[in-house]
Amino acid sequence: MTDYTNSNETHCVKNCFSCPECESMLSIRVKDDMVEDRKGKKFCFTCTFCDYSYNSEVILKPKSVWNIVKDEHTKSVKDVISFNKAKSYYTNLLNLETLTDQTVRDLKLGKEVSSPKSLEHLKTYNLNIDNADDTDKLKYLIDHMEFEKDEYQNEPHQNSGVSILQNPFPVPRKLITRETMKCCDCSQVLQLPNEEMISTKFICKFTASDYIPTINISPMINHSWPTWQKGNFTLLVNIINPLRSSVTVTLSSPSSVTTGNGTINTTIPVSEITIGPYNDKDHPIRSIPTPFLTKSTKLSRAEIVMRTGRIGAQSTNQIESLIEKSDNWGCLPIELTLEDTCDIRIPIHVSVKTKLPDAIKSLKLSRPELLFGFWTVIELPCNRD
Amino acid sequence: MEWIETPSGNRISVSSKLHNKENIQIKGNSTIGPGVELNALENEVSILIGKYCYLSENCHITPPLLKPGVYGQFKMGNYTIIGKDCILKAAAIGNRVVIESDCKVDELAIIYDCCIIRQGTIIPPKMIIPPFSEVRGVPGKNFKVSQLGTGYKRTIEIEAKELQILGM
Ligand SMILES: [Zn+2]
Ligand SMILES: [Zn+2]
Repeated sequence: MTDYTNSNETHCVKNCFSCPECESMLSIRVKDDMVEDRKGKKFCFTCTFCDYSYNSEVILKPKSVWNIVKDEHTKSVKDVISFNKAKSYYTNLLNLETLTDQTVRDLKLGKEVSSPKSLEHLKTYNLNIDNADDTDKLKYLIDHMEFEKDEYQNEPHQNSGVSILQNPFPVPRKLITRETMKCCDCSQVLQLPNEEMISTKFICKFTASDYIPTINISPMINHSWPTWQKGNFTLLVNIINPLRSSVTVTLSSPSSVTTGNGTINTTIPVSEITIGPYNDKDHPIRSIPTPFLTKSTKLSRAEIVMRTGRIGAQSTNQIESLIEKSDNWGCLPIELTLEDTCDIRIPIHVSVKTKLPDAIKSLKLSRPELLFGFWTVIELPCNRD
Repeated sequence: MEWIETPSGNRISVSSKLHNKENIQIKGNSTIGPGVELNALENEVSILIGKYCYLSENCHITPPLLKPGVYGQFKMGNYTIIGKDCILKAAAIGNRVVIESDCKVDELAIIYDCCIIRQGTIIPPKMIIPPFSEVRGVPGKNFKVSQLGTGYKRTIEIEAKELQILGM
């Protein structure tokens, strides 16, 4: 989204303004009014959320609400700038005149200012003394005194003790746009929105989350979370495939990880699994790994009964019996050995191999398959709620 | 917790309060949590909720006030998740929107598709939130709208489906 607020070229044509105090929408009412016996209109802006309000001057000639606010804003900014310049000038002049410092006495006598201490002193008054050749130092200083930093240029309502300002001005409503994105390296379009402004559809979109499997940790099926203390634990790494082709996923983790409060040894006994494709025609429950099914809904309870009748029968090997997969998900056991109670924080590298998805194939890359890897971190605090 | 499951797959908590039920339309596969109040008007369909929407405990939805005595319609798209204790008077909340707990969406605000409204946010009256926005804070204090990645379109939809299937 690009913000076009206050841009001269682009502004909301529907007279939308937001509140300078709270960003809420302003409602606008028009009232008849008089100025010097002439009939005109006055525009009253009221915030829909806070108690901000703003009344325009009486407008005699028709002009757009946007121009009314802009003109009053510009006029006010000019007033404030000249006021601040004058204020700054006289403040500096006063500072200089009231100084009894030797430096100033010297300056008034036309002497050179050379000692570092004196130069330092002058700096505290924001006096510009770069040009040391100037003969009339005092006149030079007064002419070149730095004005106070003008904060009013952009934000005329940010009041810092200037009382000539009226209320802050209504802010033209932010206009935003949809963006196209390209790869910095090869200029391939990565995201191209369609033309409809409020649509969330794209003509072209390459979003990582459409390709990367979801990785989640869970206790073993029919187990609840253990308490993390000295000992061995087996958990399941659940992998969900978002792609329409099957993927081969390989997990690896450092054999030991030291966290803030302890060391965890990890083993992934079986590290490779091939998981089937995602099919959007299937009921969404089929994409949910068994460890996440709950007993809260009829549907989920029925699914648990159906799935648990299916597992466990295939293998006599203890570890292999923990591996489960179906549709577009699978889970692999991970074994942890804890030396003491500690927060679990384990980095896992996930590498993914699949056939080239059609969207990428159409880019005519000379690659037969999609191969990528990424890191994910499993985090389980020792005090779980 | 007791639930009524309708033929269209809606799960409605018995402790929710649906005022003028005949004027509430819920497409299907949506959850109306315990203590939720839907305040539809007497004479016309005034609350419309899409499919796979999840309304958590104690949400209050009231159609927006157009002018004194005149109310409009409240519309919510599909795959939209509302957290606990939210008060919604918006005109429209789009598809794939997450509103976290304790939020207030004021009169006639519009939240377009694929937005996340963070916990405790207040969206002031008539405010329009563009698609793919993340919103947090209270106007005048710390209100902020920033851009949300396009990947959320898919993840919010999955989350909404899982909530419906798994309960919580
Ligand atoms: Zn305001
Ligand atoms: Zn590239």
